[in-house]
Amino acid sequence: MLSKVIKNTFATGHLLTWGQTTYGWGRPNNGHPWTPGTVANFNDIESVSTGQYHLGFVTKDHSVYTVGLSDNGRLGQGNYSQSGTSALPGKISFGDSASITSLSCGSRHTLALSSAGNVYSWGHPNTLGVIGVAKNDIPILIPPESFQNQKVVRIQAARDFSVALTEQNKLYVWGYGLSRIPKWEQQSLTPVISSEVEQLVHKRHAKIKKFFAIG
Amino acid sequence: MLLDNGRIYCRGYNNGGIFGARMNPLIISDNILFTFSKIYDELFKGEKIVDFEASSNSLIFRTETDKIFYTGMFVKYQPTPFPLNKKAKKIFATESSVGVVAEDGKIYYLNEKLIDDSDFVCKDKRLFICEDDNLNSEIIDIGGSYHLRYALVK
Repeated sequence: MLSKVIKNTFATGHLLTWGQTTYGWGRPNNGHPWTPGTVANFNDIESVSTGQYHLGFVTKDHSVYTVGLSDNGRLGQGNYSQSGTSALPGKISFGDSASITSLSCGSRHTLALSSAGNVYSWGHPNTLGVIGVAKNDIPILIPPESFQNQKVVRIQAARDFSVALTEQNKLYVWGYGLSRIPKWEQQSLTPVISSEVEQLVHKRHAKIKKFFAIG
Repeated sequence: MLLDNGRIYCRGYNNGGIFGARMNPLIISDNILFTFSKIYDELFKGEKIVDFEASSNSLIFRTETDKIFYTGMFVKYQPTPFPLNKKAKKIFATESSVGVVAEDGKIYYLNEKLIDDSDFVCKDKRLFICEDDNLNSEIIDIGGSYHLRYALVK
């Protein structure tokens, strides 16, 4: 049942972007910023995610590209020290050749979900879900044990915090932005099950179909 | 979050009325929900919500009988029928704007924030039809957050 709600259209197409133009959005010098314009050279994109100052997409062959502001390592292209902008999409390397199916771009970090149900993160150190990482500008596998070895089926990167749903319908949260959610009972830099959500679904004998985390 | 009981539950900052909970009992503030609250369901009682999309300040959902409601954008603080008499192929939400891709392939939306750097507040409550030639292809996905919009087209 959960597989029905995973955002994966399988149809592929080309990408149009528009909006505040400061960071190029993959189509530098391509018309008025608020007029939709094509990101050139990509005709087989399966899924897209936009963050505050960057965006990413996954192509049919499960390659991952990001573009936009590179600060805090949010692009995952190994250019943390290069504070600035990537105007054209750059490919991200996943050391263990993971097959990525979807991305989620947050404010200063990014998450990727693989077909095996593993979660990768990069960007601001306090959003990664892993503590003590040496390089935060390349994808880091969040240890599956952090999710009790359950397959993750949906991810969401919000403003400085993250949420992941497992096949067993457990909702995990992490990140320092959690402190800005009013009276959120948990603060953790590594994934923890949200007890508040647990109570909600238990009380209603229900399961989570879909969620958004917006910050 | 949408549960399989067909109801959406929200908590946190109720930016622009995105949680659609104003009319619920015990809700005394439009600003913050300290605990999970169900979206107000008086207009679709007995019907399950089957899908929803949300972005900064805006939320749109579809019921099992294909009725579409929206809330937020600083003008609606409870679910309100989306003003379109066409079947929707897809619903979407971006920063301070909601819309549908209808069966005729056209994009219908509320608030010009979708294609213009206009105000967060939906001042003009007309329904707009997107006439951009670039978006007249078959839409696979459309959305965006913060100051960025995107469409994936065939």
